[in-house]
Amino acid sequence: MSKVGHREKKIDALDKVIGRVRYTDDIKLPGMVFAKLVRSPHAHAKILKVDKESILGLEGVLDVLTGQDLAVKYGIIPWTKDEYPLALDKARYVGDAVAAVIAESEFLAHEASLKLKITYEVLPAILTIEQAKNALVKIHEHAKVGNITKKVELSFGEVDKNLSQSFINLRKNFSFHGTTHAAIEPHAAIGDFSPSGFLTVYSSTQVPHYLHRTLAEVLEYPSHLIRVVQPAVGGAFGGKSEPFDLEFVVAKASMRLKRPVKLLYTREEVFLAHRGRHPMNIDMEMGVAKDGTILAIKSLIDIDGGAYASFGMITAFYAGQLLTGPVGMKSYSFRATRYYTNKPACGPKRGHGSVQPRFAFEILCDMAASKLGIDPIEFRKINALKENSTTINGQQVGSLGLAETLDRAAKSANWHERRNRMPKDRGLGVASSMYISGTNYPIYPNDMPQSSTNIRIDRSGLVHILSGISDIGQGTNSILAQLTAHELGISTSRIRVKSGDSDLCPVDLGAYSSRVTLMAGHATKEALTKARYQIAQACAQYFSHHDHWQKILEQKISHEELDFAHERVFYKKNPEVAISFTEAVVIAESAYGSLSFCGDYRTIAKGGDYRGGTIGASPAYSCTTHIADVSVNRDTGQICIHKIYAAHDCGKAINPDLVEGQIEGSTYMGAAEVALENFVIDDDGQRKGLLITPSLLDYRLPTSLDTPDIEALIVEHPDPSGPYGAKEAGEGPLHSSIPAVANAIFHAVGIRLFDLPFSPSKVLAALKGQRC
Amino acid sequence: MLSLKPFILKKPKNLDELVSSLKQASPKTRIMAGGTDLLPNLKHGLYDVDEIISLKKLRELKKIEVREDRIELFSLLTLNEISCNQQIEKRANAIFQASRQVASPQIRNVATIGGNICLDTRCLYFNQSEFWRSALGFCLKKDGCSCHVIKTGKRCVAAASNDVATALLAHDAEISILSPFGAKSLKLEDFYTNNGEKNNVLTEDQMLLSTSFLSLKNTLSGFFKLRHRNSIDFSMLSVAVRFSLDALDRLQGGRLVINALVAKPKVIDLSEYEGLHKTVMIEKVAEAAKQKCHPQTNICDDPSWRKQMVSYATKMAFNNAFL
Repeated sequence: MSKVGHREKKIDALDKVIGRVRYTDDIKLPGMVFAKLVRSPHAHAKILKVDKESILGLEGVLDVLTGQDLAVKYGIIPWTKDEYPLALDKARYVGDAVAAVIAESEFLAHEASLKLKITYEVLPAILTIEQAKNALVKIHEHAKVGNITKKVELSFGEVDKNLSQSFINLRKNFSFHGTTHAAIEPHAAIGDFSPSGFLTVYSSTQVPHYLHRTLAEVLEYPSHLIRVVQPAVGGAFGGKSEPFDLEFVVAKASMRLKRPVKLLYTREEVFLAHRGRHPMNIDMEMGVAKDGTILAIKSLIDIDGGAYASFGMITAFYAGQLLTGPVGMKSYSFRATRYYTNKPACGPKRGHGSVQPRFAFEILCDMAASKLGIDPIEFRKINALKENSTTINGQQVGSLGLAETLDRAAKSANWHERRNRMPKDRGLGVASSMYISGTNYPIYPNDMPQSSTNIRIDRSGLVHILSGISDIGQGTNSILAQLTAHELGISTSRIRVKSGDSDLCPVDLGAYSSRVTLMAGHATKEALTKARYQIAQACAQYFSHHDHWQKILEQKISHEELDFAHERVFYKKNPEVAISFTEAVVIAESAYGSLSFCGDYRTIAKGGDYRGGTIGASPAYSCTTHIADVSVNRDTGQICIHKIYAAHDCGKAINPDLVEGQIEGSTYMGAAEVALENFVIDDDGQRKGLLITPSLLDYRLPTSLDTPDIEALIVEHPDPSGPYGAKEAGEGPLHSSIPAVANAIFHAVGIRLFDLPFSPSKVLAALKGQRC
Repeated sequence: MLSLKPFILKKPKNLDELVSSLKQASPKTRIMAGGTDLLPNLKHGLYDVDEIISLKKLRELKKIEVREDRIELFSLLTLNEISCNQQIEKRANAIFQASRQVASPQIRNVATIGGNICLDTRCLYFNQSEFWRSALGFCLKKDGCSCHVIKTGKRCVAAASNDVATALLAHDAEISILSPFGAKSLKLEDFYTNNGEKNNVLTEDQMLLSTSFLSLKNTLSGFFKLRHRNSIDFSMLSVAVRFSLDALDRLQGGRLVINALVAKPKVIDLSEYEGLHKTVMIEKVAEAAKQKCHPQTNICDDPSWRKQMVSYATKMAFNNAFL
């Protein structure tokens, strides 16, 4: 009864559909009060005074918190801590939280928050990368050079020499705009401090463990007295992958008031919290030999980071380190510099750091193929990294099904037949990409496992999985249940998964970098191997010493001769020698006592042998090919993406339904960034760094009517580093959807666009330029 | 979450009770039909309101009266009800098309024709939270004394964004207004003013009862909405046209309406193009429309692109009339 590779319903699907699932905001605790953040109206300003007294006497107002009340710096990356829960000395963007008002109701907290008197000294605001480069003003005093968060410069091979000897040399400037996650569930948190000194924080986080650590650090309170609970999460996409102001505020306020405190962001606050995709300016040069071999890539990248570091150090590395496959190159260099600006901080959005340079690279590949007269699919095959090889920057790649993803997408799109006879103004474009399945190194250095699972099996036949993973809608709880059902030969109805609770679950580092299926899958598999062994041992003893079974068997048997399937434990050579799974559990518990098993996953240290070589190193790499079918309206400049064929090598699809869901979701999210989604900050100084798109009306997520048909194609090249061969599927299938559309636009109407988003006015201007 | 300030909610059960409520109305009274625009605006703190008169229970305002040459739509009809009506589809194509393109299916199930006609003007610098507007420094339409669209402007240029009203104007609609002093009729064109702070002539003790329009044989009408997404978005431009052609496809008169520019929809009489064959006429009208329209930054989009799109949208409205 193999469950791996089987289309199983998510274990929480029904509860979600009928509304039984409880999200953080659904939790109502007795005596609960509400917090509201007071945000800076200035992009850059010294905070001179917060006059708490101005509102403390107002109806229902219970407390006011300021930066002084939580004056411990934090940051998700241990080396770049630069935030306070509430701005302490300076506000660094329009919307930076400066104070929190706690009141008996959300309405009263809101009303009082509008009346809180805060005195600022307005400072010059830095709103563009150019301003950040040239400004005398510093956003963060600790920045060693100007307003630079992080600068990474790495070179592999003889780049300049190869460029000079190339048959074709292409160099273009690309710009990638800012976009954000727009998860449907806004961030929410509840702090609940008990009289006995235990603090519980409920949060819609995707990193309960990092939140747990950081709460202890900032509150200066022992972590064993803090419990972090992650209720159901309504989407995250990287937007909830670090601690946020609201979590500290509800915790501190609850500790002070001894009452539960809730804070729910408005949609505008979700946008202001941001941590979305970094805008990047990319100057990329590609040198290609006559036969299509990519000889060199040289990439110079400026990154607009916003007001805080967030994951920005990693972003700067990923902007360079993740470009070296699945299409390889003979030499490679990059310089990536992330700057602070007075805007909402950028961070990790699905495909962290690598979506932007991938856009540039894949367009250059298309241009090179076009110049050489090589089919762009063939061009990628010429340069395809081999399986079980090492990239130019030292990353060790296991399985890699690039050629098959190209072929599968081409076959579905009927590429070779259709490409030369497309209707007027309609084109097909292709692009490919590669992504990590988790990182080999945890965010904070330690030697402990990256993921652990505890499995408890009850005499009722119930299997309880405890894991610190974060199911943020992607279905990782269901994956663990499915693996368990597979190994123990039972249905998922016997299985309960408890995740995201620091009191109950062993640590997993969180839902980021597409790591959960691989790492928690391994940890769970290890625990299950132990469970199978012990239950089989007990059953082997039982079969070997029970008269009834011995009459049939006439010999003693070992645990290795037993298997688990169809809710039974049975003798492989004679499946009629069998007992139910529940009986087997009772026998095992009788023999060994209560049944509890642990499994861990630790990454094997690998990566490039140089400073920074571990960043981008992953146990396994997925790869994707997108083919986009696009038409352009020459009258309006509007683009219509009719269909995207997305072939993704996920190693092994444990649940094909979930993999297809991730391929579709990622492809959709990428396509959305081509022309519709745009995180616009006013940067001309007239409107003070205001976010121009702070609502779902102005930040245009594609509706179902705007979403292209997406054909998700699963390619399976099992990787020995993944459980059952599985690799990631959550982020990789986003990357190449964007350049595939760009390349299709060229094929449709002959214009090259390098500057995202492809707004109708830009398209029209390019078409006009073509006519001139 | 955004909170609503407390207010008194009145729910008149019949027109007499409604009139009685209107008598007591103050500048802080608002009338609510579907509420799809009013409630978000209230949550953004855009109005000072202490009383809301809900029309929900007034079933008599939820009807269509179809006569031989005239159709009357009462205020509480939802846009979905209008867009499913075969008489509207057959006899007022532009209104039919417009009513199908407002917002989303969920909103059209609740939003009413009365609400669409009375829809408040919209502006990038107005339809924002109180925090956002305070960071900007407020604007002419609410709490401020300067315009952020036209820096030296003294009059608010927030845009009328009501698609069905655009089509009704093309159909030369009239409206009926109820007040404690009785009902009166008005041309819809005269209902709107060019002041974005409040772009219609309704006073606090008045409400829109119904709208009616001529529906003559041999009249063609069409509508086009320029938008980025095929659902939800307000118009970047909305254009409606109503016209007649003779047997040789020459124009016999009509009118073009362009909306989502400033506070008052732009109405262009087509009589000067009478006698021109439709192909020539459409080109000329489209070019003239472009010259007469000057999109502003009041909508979150590139005004120069919107300007370029006026002639295209005009042609598309004509094209849609032939569907």
